[in-house]
Amino acid sequence: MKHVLILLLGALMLLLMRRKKEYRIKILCSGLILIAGVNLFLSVRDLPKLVPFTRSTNQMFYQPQYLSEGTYPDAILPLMISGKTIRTKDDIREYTFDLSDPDAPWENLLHEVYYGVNSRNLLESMGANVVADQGLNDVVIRKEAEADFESLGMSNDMYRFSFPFNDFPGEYANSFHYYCYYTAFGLPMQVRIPKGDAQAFLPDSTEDLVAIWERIPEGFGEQLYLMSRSYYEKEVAR
Amino acid sequence: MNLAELVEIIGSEMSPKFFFSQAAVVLVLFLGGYVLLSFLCRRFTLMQRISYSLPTGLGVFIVTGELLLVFGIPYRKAFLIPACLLTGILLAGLQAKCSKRKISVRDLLPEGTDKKRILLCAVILIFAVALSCSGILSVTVSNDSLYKYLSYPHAIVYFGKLSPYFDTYLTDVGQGCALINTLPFLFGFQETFGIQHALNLSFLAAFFTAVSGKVEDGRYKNICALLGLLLLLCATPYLLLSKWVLANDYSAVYLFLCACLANTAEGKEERSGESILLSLLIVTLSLLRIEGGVCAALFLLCVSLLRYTKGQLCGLLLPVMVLQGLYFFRIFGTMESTAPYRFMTEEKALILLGLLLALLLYFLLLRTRVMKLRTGILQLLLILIMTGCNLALCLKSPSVYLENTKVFLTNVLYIGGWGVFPVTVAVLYLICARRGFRFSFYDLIAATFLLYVVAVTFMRGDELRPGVGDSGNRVLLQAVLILFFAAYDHVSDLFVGMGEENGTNQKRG
Repeated sequence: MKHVLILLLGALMLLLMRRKKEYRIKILCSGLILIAGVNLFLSVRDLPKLVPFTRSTNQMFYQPQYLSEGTYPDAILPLMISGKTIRTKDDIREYTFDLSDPDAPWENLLHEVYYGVNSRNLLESMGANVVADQGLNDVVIRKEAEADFESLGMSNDMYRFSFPFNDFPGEYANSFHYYCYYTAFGLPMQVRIPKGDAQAFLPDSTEDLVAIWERIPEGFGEQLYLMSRSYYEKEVAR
Repeated sequence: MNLAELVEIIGSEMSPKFFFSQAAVVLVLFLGGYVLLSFLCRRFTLMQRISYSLPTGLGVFIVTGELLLVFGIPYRKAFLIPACLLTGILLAGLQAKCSKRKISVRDLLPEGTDKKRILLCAVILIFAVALSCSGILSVTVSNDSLYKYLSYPHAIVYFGKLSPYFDTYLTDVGQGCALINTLPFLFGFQETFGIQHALNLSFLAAFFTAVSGKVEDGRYKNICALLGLLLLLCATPYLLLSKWVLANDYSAVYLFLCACLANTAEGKEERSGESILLSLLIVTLSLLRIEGGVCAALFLLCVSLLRYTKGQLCGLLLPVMVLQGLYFFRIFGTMESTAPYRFMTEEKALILLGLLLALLLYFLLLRTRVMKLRTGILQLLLILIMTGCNLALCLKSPSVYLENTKVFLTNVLYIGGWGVFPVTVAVLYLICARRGFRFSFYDLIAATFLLYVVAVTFMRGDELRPGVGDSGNRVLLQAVLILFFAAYDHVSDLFVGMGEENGTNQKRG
């Protein structure tokens, strides 16, 4: 229907321009304005239904609504951790196996070693000073404490695209996470921060932070828990 | 304090710094581009210089950055900034040598420009930069905006070089766009929406200048240009393209600028500076998307139908060949990338380089003879060749090709964000149809680009999907600017014709 309307407008313009030659410019201008008007009406009506629009008045990629949507945590993380010291587990295990072997169970083996490597590399690339601490190796976030954490957003894509920051060869990194993300094993992973601890992540805060990664209960995946050192010592380490 | 409060405080504390950083970068790119442009194209009017300045500045940055990366020179500010200056000096020096004329500070302004005009332009420039970077103009972002076009540039800046562990980023992402997106990480801001909007404003200025420059009658030139702008700014696919934070907008703008400059500079051997500028813009176009080399080759084939000499055409092609060759050698020759799925493979890279070499040989050996044919026949021949290529691809895999064509039509007519743009363009052609209608250079670019898009999306391997976000649909959106301009160029002929008639009528009266 909308296409027919434009065609009719065009045909009418053409007819009038040929019949009323002395008014051709006015007819042409009026016709173009009308056609522009129809285009504008359809743009205003249809575009927001096709793609979401946002205004970056805070000058950041990360828009306030992303928090409630649980998306793009890696867009705000650099601003929260840059320049800060973050203590992490020191449990990265080295694996050597023949990657060219098609029967090598690399998905399972990579999962054991990879998440920790990627979390640490990502935090470093975001400007944090990452310190590996063996004292954190056996730390588990208790179920009771887990409820005190709120989510910064889903980290599946963050890990999916973390492969440039590791030196794991063979593109297994990318395909591993791609496989993980899109298969049934790729359950939602999240970046979690304690409620009421957010002031430690202000840009001018100098308090050390702690990062703990833990497997999600089912399937492949990890939650990344970030907290201030004081919160860790008070609520998690006990 | 909870997360929502944290996000708000970070935003309010950091946003002034981000705004001024991004605005400063846009201004520096603009001013650097303006200075170089003034030395290259002394005959450009002030409006032309303003339109092409930011694309020129960005072009110098992209080409320089690409050279640093392929040669393994650290991608750091300490190297990048002097290298960009050196690139500008070399280009200006080349122009001085070709034109046998020394560069002078007086070249910075067109002759006869008064102080009031300079002041007005400066105020408009500052306002335009502030508007672009302010965040008032909306954008739409997707996963690709953050990951392919921010996470990869983040890695380039973090490591200061290309790494084999970048995997599919090396073979799937246009280096030019990645380099533009390194600017936030280099200069301390967060997103590139301001750069994209500033480039869009440059395009609008170039469009206005191109249209009004054609209609010489003072009464109609501005009306004609403003109406064209109005029509374009209301068009659904233009709004989508200009606001979507991806590589497609950059490619579309550079394709348009290259087409305009190629058409206006043809046959002007004494204007070596415009050829140098055109060469810079074409190289930039070839770097913006991973398949950009093919786009540049096809563009140059269309340009070869204009009155350019053999030497000029080779001068336009060689930089594309060199940069494409260097990049492919870097990623396939010196790095072992074993990504399981890649758009650009060694085979495709060799085919692309072979295509560029074949084009060079054509320019050197055959073009002079071929140009004896009439332009209309050559244009038809080129379109037939492109159609033939598409037919060959269709015969190779009919189901995929036909399914892709069906998806393209579904997207264009119904759900791909095209609105009534296709039928609007058809109406523009319809009202201009008359005896003596001439198939123009812009029509040729638009037609061949459309056929190129269908072919290049087939080369991706898998089928397209209906929807606005489909990559084939997004590549097709790159045709919007040149397609609209090709049609509106004929409409502006009507204004030229009417202006002459009214002048005649007034004389008779």
